[in-house]
Amino acid sequence: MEALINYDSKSKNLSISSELESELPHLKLEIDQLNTLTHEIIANGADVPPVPTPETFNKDISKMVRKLYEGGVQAFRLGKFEESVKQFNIAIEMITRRAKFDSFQGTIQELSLLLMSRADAYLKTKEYLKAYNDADLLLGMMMNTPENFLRRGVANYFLGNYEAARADYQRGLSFEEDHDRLNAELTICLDKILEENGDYL
Amino acid sequence: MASSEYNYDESGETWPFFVLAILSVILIPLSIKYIYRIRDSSNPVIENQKIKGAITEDATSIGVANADSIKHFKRKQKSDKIFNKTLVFLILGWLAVLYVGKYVTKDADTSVLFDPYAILDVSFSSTESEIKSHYRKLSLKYHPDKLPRDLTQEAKDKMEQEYIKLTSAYKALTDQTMRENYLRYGHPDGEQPTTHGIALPQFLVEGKYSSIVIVGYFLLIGVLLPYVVGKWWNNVKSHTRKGLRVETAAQFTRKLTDKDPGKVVTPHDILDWVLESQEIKKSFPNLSVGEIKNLVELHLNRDFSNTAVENDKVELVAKLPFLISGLVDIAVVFRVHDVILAAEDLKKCIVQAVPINGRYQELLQLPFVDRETVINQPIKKLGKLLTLSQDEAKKVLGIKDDAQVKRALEVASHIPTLRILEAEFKLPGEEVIPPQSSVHLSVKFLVKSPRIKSCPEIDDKRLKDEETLDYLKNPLIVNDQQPQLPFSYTPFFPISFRNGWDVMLINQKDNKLVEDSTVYSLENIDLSDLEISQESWKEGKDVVIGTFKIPLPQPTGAIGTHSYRVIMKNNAYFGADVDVPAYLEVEHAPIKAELSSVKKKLLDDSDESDSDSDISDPEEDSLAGALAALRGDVKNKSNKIQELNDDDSDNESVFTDINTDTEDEAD
Repeated sequence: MEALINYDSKSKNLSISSELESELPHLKLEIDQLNTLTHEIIANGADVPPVPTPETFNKDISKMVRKLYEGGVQAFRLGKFEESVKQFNIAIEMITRRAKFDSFQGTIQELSLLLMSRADAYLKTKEYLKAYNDADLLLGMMMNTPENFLRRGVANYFLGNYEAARADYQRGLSFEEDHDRLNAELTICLDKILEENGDYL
Repeated sequence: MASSEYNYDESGETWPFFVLAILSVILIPLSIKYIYRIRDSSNPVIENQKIKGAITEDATSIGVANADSIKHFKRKQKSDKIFNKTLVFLILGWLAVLYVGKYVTKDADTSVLFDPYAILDVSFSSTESEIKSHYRKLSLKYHPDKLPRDLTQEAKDKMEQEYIKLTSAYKALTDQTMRENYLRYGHPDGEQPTTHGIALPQFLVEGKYSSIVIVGYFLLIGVLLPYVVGKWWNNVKSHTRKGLRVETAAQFTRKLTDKDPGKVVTPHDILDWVLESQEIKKSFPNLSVGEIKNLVELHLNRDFSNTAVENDKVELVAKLPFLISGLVDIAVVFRVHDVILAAEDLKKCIVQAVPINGRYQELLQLPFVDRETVINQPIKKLGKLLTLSQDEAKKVLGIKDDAQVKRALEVASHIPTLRILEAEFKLPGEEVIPPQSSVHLSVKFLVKSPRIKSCPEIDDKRLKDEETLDYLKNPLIVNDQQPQLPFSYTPFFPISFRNGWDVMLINQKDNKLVEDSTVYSLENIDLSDLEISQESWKEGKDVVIGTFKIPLPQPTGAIGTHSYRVIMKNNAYFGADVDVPAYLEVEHAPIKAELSSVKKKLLDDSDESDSDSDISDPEEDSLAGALAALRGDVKNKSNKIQELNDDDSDNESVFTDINTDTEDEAD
């Protein structure tokens, strides 16, 4: 397939016609990504972006994220779950605003920690679909800890997907056989499945 | 003395046999194939009546609104199967065989062949004296002087010929030179003239018909042969081995290659992919993609208001499962089980004509149900439905007529669900599984009707396979030793097919299909337990234990526990799927006492390897560490996170604690 891609030398942006945008959302996404990267390089001033090492990692943002994270945890402990969700949201937003050429190793660690916490906060505020999305993202990033399976499983359970919840718990248990929480939740879930089916043991 | 010449088959001795041989080579396999194909299309209702536990309702008995279109489609399929070009060819071919066999063949003249043993009527191993005595006896019968007088001249000549033959046969076996001749040339008089026959009557080759033969040869070699080969090659080039068009296969492959890992593939996506295929476009050139999709929607919603499109709709729907299976075959190569599961769900929605969305498919697949009523009440599962009284069930399903409720519940209680007793990896003849052995997964189950509750205690001894020699050679034969499943109850779907389960083996570590594995089909199960009473089920003495085995495609890996997940998707019924974990424990084989020295050595080895693995634990920062993290080497990773964020690890545990409270509140 052929598509006409325009280049605007002033704004240094690539673009396609709006018809094509709706027709080819993939292409649109890729062009947007490319534009963002281009602007980052230009803003950076140097010919090539700095090598992403832990040393060049932007520590100032880390500090802010950290503060927000701690605030969120504090709110969580006090039972103000909406407040803690808000804090985590801002922190995650901040992480996504990081320079794109920052060391991803650092970013992903911050992000995964925040996603875990936010998933927990969402579970508390009963926004199970959002909790599911966060846990799913974590598992999609191969953070295969039993806790993440627990998070997605619990979200699935409350969304009514009992079979999916059971599968999550069981996969979590395959990474840590004696995880007490997972085993307990699995029992609850199996009982629920039996109850739904009007069955008993 | 030796001369050779070409003879045309003037008297028609050979060519009829030649024709018969050629015809039978073509006709016999073709006929067998044809008969098998017709037998395959036996009536599902009659077949199912023979199988205990099968559902015998179909489109006609349920009174499906588009039953006429379905019948029309089935009739067309059937007549296509019986009255086709093959049948014409078979009839003409067998008529030709009959004609040639009856009227044209003549007894071949075997006078040229000379077999002294046959003439003398003695066996190969006879001694010379035996030969002599036989010769004496026969010569008395044929000697010209001993013939009765009242014979005609003709008969006399014949007898004389016989006598000459007899004498030369005798000489061939007794006289030295003649015997030599016989052994060397096959005749006591020395070399005989050789003749090569052409299995064509002379009038075709010489004279006025010769041009026809030349044209015939030309047509055969110049036109027919290239045409047949070309057609075959074209077919090979444009279709995959499974019969999918190459363009469609390429399109599916592209979709799977470009799959966004962050996006979940739903049955809706699969439907879109399938409807874009060349097969659909070529079959319905007049319809746009939107219109085609609309037809599918009408089918899924069981909307029969527009009678004008019924025939198109039935034809379209009939094509879809084949295409979806084609997609599954390709997804197997990519090892993406989420796509396969979505595809299987879509296939099921299509054969049962129930909507893709929502959670009421289990009830909606039953006959006579009222959709609106069903989706506005809380009960979703067949098992729950069957705990209700008939009046309550009537309300749940929205059926007015008592007889119909009964039939609907009857269908519900005959949908087979599997109660898994055991899913273990086994090595025939061994108690433990050592590394590098080829094992199979053995799933033991009971067939359970949704109306049956609880589960009987089954003694472990009953779960053991009988270790016959055949079993030890190939444990998978157990799969074929059970009766075939009946045809599925799918009144809204125009093609009848056997019920079955598609089984997948998933590796829990990387959450993908096990490498080199495929989607296995479970086709043989004894369903008689569907009719069992609750009491005898609970007692468990008479229940039939089913078995399904699939080979693990790779030899077992290192020592330790490997976890797998077994998913079994029924190909027709909702509520009959199974999803269980299975653990493969690889250990050292137990070593006998007399081999203690070897044992010691082995133990040393294992110790060494342990310490090795300690040393070579990949560091987080290294490439190997990153790879290990990708592979899901979790422990390592999570430990690192905790180390890096010392105080956070506390918070982590706080979260999980609070989480527990949530649970308790909610329950």
